[in-house]
Amino acid sequence: MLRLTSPALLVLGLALLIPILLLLVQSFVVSLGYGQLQYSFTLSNYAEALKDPVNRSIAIRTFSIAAVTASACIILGYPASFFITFRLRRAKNLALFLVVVSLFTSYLVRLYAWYTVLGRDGLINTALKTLHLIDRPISFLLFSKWAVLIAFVNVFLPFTILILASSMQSIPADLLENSRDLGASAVQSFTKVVLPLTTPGLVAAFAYTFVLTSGDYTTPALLGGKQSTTLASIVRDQFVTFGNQPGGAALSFLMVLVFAAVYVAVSQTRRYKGV
Amino acid sequence: MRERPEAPSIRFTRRELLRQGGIAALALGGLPALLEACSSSSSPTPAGGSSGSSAADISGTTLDFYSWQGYDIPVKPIKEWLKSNDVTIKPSYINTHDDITAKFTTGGGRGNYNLSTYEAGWGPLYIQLGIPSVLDVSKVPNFQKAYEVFKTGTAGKWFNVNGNQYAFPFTWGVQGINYQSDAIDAPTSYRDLLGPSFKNKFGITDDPVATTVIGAYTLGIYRADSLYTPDQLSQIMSFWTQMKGNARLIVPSYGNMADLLASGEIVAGTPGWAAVNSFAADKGDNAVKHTVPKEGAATFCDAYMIPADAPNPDTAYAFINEAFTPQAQAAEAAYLVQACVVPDALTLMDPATKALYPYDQIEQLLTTTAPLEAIPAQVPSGYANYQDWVKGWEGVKAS
Repeated sequence: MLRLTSPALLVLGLALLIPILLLLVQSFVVSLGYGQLQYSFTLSNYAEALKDPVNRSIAIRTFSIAAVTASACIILGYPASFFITFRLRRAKNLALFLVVVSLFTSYLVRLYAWYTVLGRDGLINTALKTLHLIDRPISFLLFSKWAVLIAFVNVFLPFTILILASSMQSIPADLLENSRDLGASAVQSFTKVVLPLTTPGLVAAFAYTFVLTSGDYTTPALLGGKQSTTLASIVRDQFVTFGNQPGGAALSFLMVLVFAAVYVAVSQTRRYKGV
Repeated sequence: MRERPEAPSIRFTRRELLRQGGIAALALGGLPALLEACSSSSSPTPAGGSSGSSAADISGTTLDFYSWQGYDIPVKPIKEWLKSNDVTIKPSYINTHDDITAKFTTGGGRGNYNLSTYEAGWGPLYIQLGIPSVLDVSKVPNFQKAYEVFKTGTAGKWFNVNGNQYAFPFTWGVQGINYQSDAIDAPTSYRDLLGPSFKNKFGITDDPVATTVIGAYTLGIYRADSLYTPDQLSQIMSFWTQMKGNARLIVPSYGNMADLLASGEIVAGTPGWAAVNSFAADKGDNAVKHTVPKEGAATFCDAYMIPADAPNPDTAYAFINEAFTPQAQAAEAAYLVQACVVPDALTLMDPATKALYPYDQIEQLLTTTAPLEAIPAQVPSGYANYQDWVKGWEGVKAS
């Protein structure tokens, strides 16, 4: 078994763990600016990242939109996954294929597509004008936190559905039948069997969406209007604009700490054994 | 150009066979020159290559280029020159000037590119970081055709430092306001955008340098040496916070601004750039214009540099020399919607392109009216540096 897994472990080690460890080390050294480092231990990179009020307000904005996006994806994705897994029989694979197909389009193309839907001359404004419901185009649809949320959900919902559907497919069909045979109602079967068994999938889907949304700066930049800055763009500024790799690394690891805390928090739902 | 954040774009046009041929040719005939080029990074001697731009055999070589999209000037005279000299250009495009500092200090760029650019104000920082090599002016004879102000005048001082030529300025321009002329008259002041008629109808480009400079002009505290006190910087950022309150969005790039103006999402955008007119025209909208308000505009002057340890400086020298021919300058001015630096090019320009910039007042413009500004990488105590500018701008965006 080890022989089989060792190539994968090697790739993981070389391509993932080593760069992360190097970054972690770098987060504790002194930056002299523009890529110049002084290899002496310091915690000041973390201290400066934490005490900066701009970082704090951007962090609140970033993690708020990430939490709302992840929640929305779960709320929309769970019933969709349930329907695909337990209600569709022959069409199940086709439905999952269609979910995957939606990922084939370029991320940027999907973002720009929202201009044609939410823009001044977009589908919604055109429809409202045609119906004589508005005189002038509504401008707040595009370039707002709502536009960012809609785009994020559009981008990450397929991932959520795939993770949740995978989790639900591992539930033996006869388990549901047995629960019904033992007198459980449909609601009880769901709350006592399906929901507890899919909590790992829920945790994974929420964490996955939360992490990816938190690290995204393209969507807010293109659709966020005046609220377009995220933590990822601050990290980018540290690395590229200031050449301050230790500062960027410290900020990145603070984000990882938040991700870990969120994961631990949502993992508590695994204790759920049914109501 | 100050900041021009475009979507990352890399074109690969490598003709590997020719490149290998070029490497072999260099190995056989140009090794001493290459060694000389390599050594130039540590001593202020001109970047290597054969003596005289025309003497070097550049046939079959590749020009690895790292700069703004468009600065590889894909215009007819340059395309013909590349073809006739069998030179392949392999461009990688930057999003901001910071990409150059990042690439050549930590990003593995050193030794991999033979042509890049720097904007005047960034020069001192680049030189301090050892990014450009010292250039041999004799290998770019066409540079002598440039206006005096770019050689020995107030603009030239950014590129010739302590007698060392680090770059050859080839284009310049100003950054004011782009506007949709079908929808509005040209704004005459940046403060016009604070009025109710512009509420949610204009965009602010995500460009910390140009916004700082324009803010200083608007508040009447502009300094060409870019030495602003923290209090002055705070005033500038407060101005932009006020502007942001009336704006519709922060525009992530100048290319995006062209999209937004052409689609009618906004009627104006600042800091602007004349090339946005061209981008919008490519999308079928010829009504997007650029104007310089009464307060002034951020001015930029971009120059070709050969990075230290450039693998093939001869090709870079030859390309730069060609970029200073009147034909290339005229075509480039039309393509980039920027000003040229060679007066002989004016007779080859169409009247509209020629009328964009006041060539008859070029000395006065670059010396007093709209001088080139420094990037405050290192400042005396009591003044805000470039990092403070960026942090201040981040604060505006976070507000």
